Amino acid sequence: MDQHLETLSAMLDGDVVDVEALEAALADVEARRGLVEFVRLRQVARDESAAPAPVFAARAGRSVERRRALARLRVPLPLAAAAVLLALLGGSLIDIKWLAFDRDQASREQVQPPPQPSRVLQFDAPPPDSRTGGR
Amino acid sequence: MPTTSGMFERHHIAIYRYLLRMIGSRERAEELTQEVFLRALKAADSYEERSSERAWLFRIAHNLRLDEARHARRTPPMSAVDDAEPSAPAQQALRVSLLQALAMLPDEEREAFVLAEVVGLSYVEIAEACAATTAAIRSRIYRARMQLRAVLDVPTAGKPLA
Repeated sequence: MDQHLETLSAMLDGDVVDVEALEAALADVEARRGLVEFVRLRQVARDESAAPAPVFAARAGRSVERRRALARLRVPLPLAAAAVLLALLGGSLIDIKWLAFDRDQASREQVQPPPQPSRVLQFDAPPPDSRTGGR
Repeated sequence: MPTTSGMFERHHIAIYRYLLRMIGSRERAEELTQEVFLRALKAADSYEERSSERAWLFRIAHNLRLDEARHARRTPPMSAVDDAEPSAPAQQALRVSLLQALAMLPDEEREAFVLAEVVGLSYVEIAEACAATTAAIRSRIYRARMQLRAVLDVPTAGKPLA
């Protein structure tokens, strides 16, 4: 009897059952009665209209969707950490390079001698004019 | 990865019904329903394609419910909350009897019955949600039916079917 009812219970749920076991179960009057009761239980159980309050459903739905949108934007933590590290490293390298460049330029300015003249212009004053009496 | 867009709309009522029947409190069932979806978003990367979205969500709900019971250090008292729309008096009386009987079932059997009969999951989905074998689920549902059948005053009992 129990075995028959278990077979019918599984059949009711769409599970695979042995055909011979099903035949034997259906030949059993008590098992058939049990099957009817199982169906009745199902009908009552599925007559379910419980639902969360509409206010809750709307609020929770919005909250979940907002969190989902944020989650899609979120960059994986290791990737974000790597990006920050790279930015810091890059920034400090640029800084070092600029400092080094400034230092080189300053030292060059200190060491280099003044430029050599490429040509010399000489001004020779003309001799005093005798006709003007030296004025 | 599951399509998380619209997931709440698709499944929140089923999840709520499961939690309501397992916990017995509307307010707590609502809070935990929201928590299920928030956890699902966090765990979306761990979703495996071989499982159905529904079974995966119920697995989260199952774990959440167990956590809840563990934190409470005992199974919370069950009450036969009836949210159903008013139906025919006979049907309503039968329904109240069913909910009362359901509240008295052992946890595993109640869970298997609710997932199969109220929510409509398959044995495979229930097994996945509850981390059990399909044979165990089949057996739990059968035992639940036998106990509910004994409690309910089913009108067909005693009538000849032959």
